[in-house]
Amino acid sequence: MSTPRPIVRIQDLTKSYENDGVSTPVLHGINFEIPEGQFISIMGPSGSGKSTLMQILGFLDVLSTGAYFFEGRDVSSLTEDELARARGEKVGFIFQAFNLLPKTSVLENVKLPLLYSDVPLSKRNKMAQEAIDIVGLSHRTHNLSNQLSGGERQRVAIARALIRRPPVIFADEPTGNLDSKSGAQVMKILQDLNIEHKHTVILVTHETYTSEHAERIIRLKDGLIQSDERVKQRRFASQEELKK
Amino acid sequence: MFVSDLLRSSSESLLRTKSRSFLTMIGIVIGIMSVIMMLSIGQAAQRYILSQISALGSDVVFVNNGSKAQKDIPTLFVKPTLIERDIKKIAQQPWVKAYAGRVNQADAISGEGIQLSAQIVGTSPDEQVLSDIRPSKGSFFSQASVDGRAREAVLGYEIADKLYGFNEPIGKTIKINDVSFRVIGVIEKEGTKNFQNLDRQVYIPYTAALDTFNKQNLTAIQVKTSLTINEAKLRLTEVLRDSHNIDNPLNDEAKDDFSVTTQEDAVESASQITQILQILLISIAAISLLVGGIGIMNIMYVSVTERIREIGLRKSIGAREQDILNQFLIEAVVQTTLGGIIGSILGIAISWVLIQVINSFQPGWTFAVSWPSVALSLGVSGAIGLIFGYFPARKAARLHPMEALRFE
Repeated sequence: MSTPRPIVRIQDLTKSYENDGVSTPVLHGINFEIPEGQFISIMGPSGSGKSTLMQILGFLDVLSTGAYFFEGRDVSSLTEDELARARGEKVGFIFQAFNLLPKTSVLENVKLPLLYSDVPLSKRNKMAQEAIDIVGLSHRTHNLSNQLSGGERQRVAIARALIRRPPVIFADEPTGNLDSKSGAQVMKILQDLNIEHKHTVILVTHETYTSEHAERIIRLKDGLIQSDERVKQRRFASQEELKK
Repeated sequence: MFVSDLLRSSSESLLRTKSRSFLTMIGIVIGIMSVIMMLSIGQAAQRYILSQISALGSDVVFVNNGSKAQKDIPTLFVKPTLIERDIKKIAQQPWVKAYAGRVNQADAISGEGIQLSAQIVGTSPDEQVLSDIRPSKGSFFSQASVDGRAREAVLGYEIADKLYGFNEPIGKTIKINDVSFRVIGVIEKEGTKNFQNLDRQVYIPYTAALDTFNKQNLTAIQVKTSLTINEAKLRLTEVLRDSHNIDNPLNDEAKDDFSVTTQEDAVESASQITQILQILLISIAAISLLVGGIGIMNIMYVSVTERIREIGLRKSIGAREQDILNQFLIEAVVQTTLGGIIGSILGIAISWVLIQVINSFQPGWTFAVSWPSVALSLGVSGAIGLIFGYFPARKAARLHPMEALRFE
């Protein structure tokens, strides 16, 4: 098996927050690479810095010192508008709280990222429909977001994250607000995206069970990497689901 | 981002909070409505005033008591100086086409046991030319009647109708200030001209009017000439100075004890007054627009705070600062412009109703939509959205994506 080129590479990354002249360090020097197409979990208790790390990797925040290369490009050289463009094209986010627009149809929610793209209007519905099909919500296309169950909402959020086919999908505690069955469905979709559609998936969670759906787990503690290892017995959501 | 996208996305956001968007809009609706109403009614008043003044004919020159310097003093306090001799001198000028001495007096008249209040107009036969009136029955009095100080009266339509109804008025006797006058004619129905209801006037020779009211002075002299207006003003001034023995080689109008004016002067001062009035009314209406704008700003700040997570989400899927700024600005502009459109429609409708009501009391008012002012109002309402929406929109645009997403 050949080693694919790293899509994400960070070197000596630190991050501290300035607040009223007081500097609070969160990340103390992190190094790792993520090869293209990997499904990786970033784990750690709250306050370990895992969310901050995800936000830096997802262009939502900037690092304090160190270096971050995405697809070989130095992210710190990007302007504010280029970062916005990268957020639209290179990554897709799935949040614990779904963050759907209320009183808005599934189709419109999924299409939302295209608003900030050059994709012609005529192609948008087709793209959205394909993304909705992937998450298995074709029958819900014209329902309003507040008419859906929690699991369905998170699947809409996944469709929204993948509509522009970004190389990397970030999932921040995607099952945190879901019951175990819906959680398993969401994890299955993420694994399908990774295996069938070749997206790199970066999962942030504090649950060992959820994190074991990945191939590799990075454990953070107090802003440092505690361990970085391959999962010995990877869980597959499709099998978990059959047990229920 | 496409413009159509922007508009649609903003409209959708507004529709998600329908009742709030509507309430926010009301401020602008009321503001624009009042501006349109003030403009429509102000312009209708102006049209009414100008139509009244110009009904008298723009080539008529007026000689009034008191100098131009006394123009702003109520007529009651101006020392009257015009006398019969002035009329005779004017009558002798070859360039005079028509003239009338005027003695105006509001008084009660009685006839057939009925008492009525009327405007008594002492005048000359040329009144028919100057005011464009003609008798429908009988005739107007002649110059001979004026010279002979004859007690003859020509009745306005309404006066004749009220006193005699279907009976024949010609030859009947009416009393003015206890003096008997013989009715020799009735004027056609004329309506209101120059703010006077001509149908409630009673015309008598000005000489008889001076006798009846025991006066020496005329109210005014009206003259129509074959000259240009300015030439006529100059010549009349010379005639009057000569008649009043005023030596005024420097042409200092303050030295004269009379003034010569034209319809144009009246039109000019009337439009000045109505313009000042309009500016005043519009300023008041503009204050309500300002209040509406502040309302928009206030609600937008609330809306930005409420939608911080949405803003965070939009940034996380690729929205630039400019995109967020545009979205919130467009939301404000769509809201205020829609408010402007509704306000304009309401303003036009209400002023139409009001002018119909005014017209039923005082005929001669006309309604017209002033499209430039509607266009201006729509422009102003859009601008209000831009101005008052800018700061909340900028606040939204500058939110840090990560902090916005974390916001609880």
